[in-house]
Amino acid sequence: MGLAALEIYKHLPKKNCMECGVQTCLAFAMALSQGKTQIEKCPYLTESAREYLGSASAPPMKLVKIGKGVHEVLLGEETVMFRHEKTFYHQGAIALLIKDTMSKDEIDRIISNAKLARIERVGVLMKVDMFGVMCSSGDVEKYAECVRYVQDKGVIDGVPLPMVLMSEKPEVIDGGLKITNEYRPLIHGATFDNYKEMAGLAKKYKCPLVVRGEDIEKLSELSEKVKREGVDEIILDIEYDSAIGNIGNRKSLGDAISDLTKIRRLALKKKHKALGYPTMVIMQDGKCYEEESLEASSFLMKYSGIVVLRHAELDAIFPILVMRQNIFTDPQKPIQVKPGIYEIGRPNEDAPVLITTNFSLTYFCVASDIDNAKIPSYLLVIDTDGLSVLTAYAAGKWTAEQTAEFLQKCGIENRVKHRSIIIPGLVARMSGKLAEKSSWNVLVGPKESAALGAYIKNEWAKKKK
Amino acid sequence: MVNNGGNMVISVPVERWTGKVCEVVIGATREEGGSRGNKLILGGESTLPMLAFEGNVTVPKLGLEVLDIVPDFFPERIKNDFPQCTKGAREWAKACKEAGAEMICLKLVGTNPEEENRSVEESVETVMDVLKGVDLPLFVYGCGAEEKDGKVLSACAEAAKGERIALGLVEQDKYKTIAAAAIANGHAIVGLSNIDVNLAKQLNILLMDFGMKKESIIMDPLTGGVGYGLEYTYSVMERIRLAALSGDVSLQMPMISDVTVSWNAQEAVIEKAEFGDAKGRGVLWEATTAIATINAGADLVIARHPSTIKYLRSVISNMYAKMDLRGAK
Repeated sequence: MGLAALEIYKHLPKKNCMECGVQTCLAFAMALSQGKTQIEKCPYLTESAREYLGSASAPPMKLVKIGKGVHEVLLGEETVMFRHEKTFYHQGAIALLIKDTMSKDEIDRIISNAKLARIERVGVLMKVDMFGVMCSSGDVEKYAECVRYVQDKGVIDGVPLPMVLMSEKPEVIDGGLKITNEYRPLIHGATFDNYKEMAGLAKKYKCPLVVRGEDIEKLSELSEKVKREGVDEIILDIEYDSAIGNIGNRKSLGDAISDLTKIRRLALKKKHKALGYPTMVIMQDGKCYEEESLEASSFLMKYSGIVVLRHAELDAIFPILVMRQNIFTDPQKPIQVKPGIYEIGRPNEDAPVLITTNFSLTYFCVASDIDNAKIPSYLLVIDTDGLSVLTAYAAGKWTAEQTAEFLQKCGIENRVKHRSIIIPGLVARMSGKLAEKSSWNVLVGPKESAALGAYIKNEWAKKKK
Repeated sequence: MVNNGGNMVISVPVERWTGKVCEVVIGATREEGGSRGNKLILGGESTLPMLAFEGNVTVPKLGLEVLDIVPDFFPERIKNDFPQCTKGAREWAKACKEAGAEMICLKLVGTNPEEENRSVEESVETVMDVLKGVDLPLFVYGCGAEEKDGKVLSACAEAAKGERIALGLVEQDKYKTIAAAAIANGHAIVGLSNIDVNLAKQLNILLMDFGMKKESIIMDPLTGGVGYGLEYTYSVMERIRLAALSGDVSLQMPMISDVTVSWNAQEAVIEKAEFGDAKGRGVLWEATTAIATINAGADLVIARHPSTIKYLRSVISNMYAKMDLRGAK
């Protein structure tokens, strides 16, 4: 990844032996630079060339996996600073903080909120990803009991939500790992004082490990040390939550985001290996949940792989979930909704029938505007490969013929008595042909969906047949 | 002894930007021939938000909207939490100042010929009433109907001469009357483009060709709320800002983000267990939209709920705490 074909070619044997399955060494170099083949396929590489090309073609930011099965969280492998340059691959994970000193009621409330905050939107499940279980008691047994409790209570779809085990004491972490290691928790975390023991635990239980450092120098050094101990799945915690050694103050949000930006730049642009890992942030205590939620959103946009929330209020989690879905959407692929019949409110057999495209934004705007008008309706969504109304029409992805066929097959003819359909004003030109090709009376609606409420109230009863 | 690290120094890649965002000043004080208590300075940054280690950063400003009427669509939540909004534009604007707004965006939605159809004279009266009641820098927006906006905003521009207000919203195919009024009366203008870098650039070029100074143009690249196109706005704002920093003079104007659109999302207000308490959710929905556009480079946020700017103010002050600032209040 990242290396130009000609740069790779310089290091190849140039024998054109074809044993790699490609015609020439140059063609092999090109395939390699596009990530379409592997370096191992060349049998005649020198040791030094293998090492150079191997490290240069490795992704600049490592993939780290936390949890198991349906709740597995993937972080890292990002390749850009801005989503418009390509896309962000793995959305940041949201963890809810639980302390072993909390009451059972409080822990139950947090777990039940994590279970409630699972909302489907455009066919994707938005959810809280993890629990951050922190040892505040300092007591090995109390902590283990808490981990056991969260594991038993935190089962969703048959599997417990993964945990971040949080303590600086290796014996505390060991106790937690004994209970939950099969679900691959994240160990939090290694410091200069304990990294040997923590790395030992990470290796023993094959779990990823967090290293904590207040600045990029310390993080880089500690991550190298842990790597030398044999741990390869690392998360970098920038210590937003704690007082900084010499200064005694906590980091400002701006300093924290600057640090995360520096780490991302060093990983991507300088191939700084020791910082080529996902990051994490624990929110600061002593803030109201509204402020915490806005800070958490900032961190998720600006390069934090995991955000640990101290508050578990659903009205704050929900906007974060939707914001995260927005920002981590692949800009190269518009989100689509499933074509079909959507009921807005509780429509009956006389309810208005409207049609729009399956571009998610178009659908959401139209659905929301009809809903706001409080007129129960049927909204038909036709497949336009996720293009918006005007774009789809101009590109020939939305035609009268296709619409006539859709009206016949989608089942709407069995749901309403009338045969009138409202099409968007932007595709008014389709109306004649659609009326001709189908048995439907075609009404041309407004150009902007915001005007739909008024249109239906004023025109529908008059014009429908 | 434990090695606590930090002995090596890592050199961080720093972007050497060649361009910067130009400063646009709204509001004229007494000394300058107006009656504003202070000026609103937008722009001036020479890097991305918060990255003070490589350039000038500026604190984003926070304002509230005031409408000339309370329309049907206005959310019940706002009327409940902020009853002053039903007591006329002047009282509404005063309450905005008390809530910490740094500017007022007066939207003359009641002038819409299809609906309330308030007259030019009534509108001028409203604008002057707000100017007298509150000494904050003022933006005045029309209803969006081209012909009516031209008449209303020209009259308002003339009546408010000397106050250095901002007039909006102009678009690619309807800007001449309003731009002429702005030039003649020393006001600035807000240009709306539809979430598209090229359209934003084109409108700026048209306005400059028409005679507007760069320092009198503010861009509104259109804000989609959380769940309703936020990602498009976010990326377009980032691209506009990167182009500005890379030296594209026709995109170096400050950007504003009107997040009041967030209240149109039903998810912001409806009762549903998994969405959490509906009481505070609308504010968070609006504030989350704003925090995204602030991260993408917005210089000014216009919100609807006073609590939105209260929370944003705390978060922003934490963003820019201890930083070397230009353009801070």
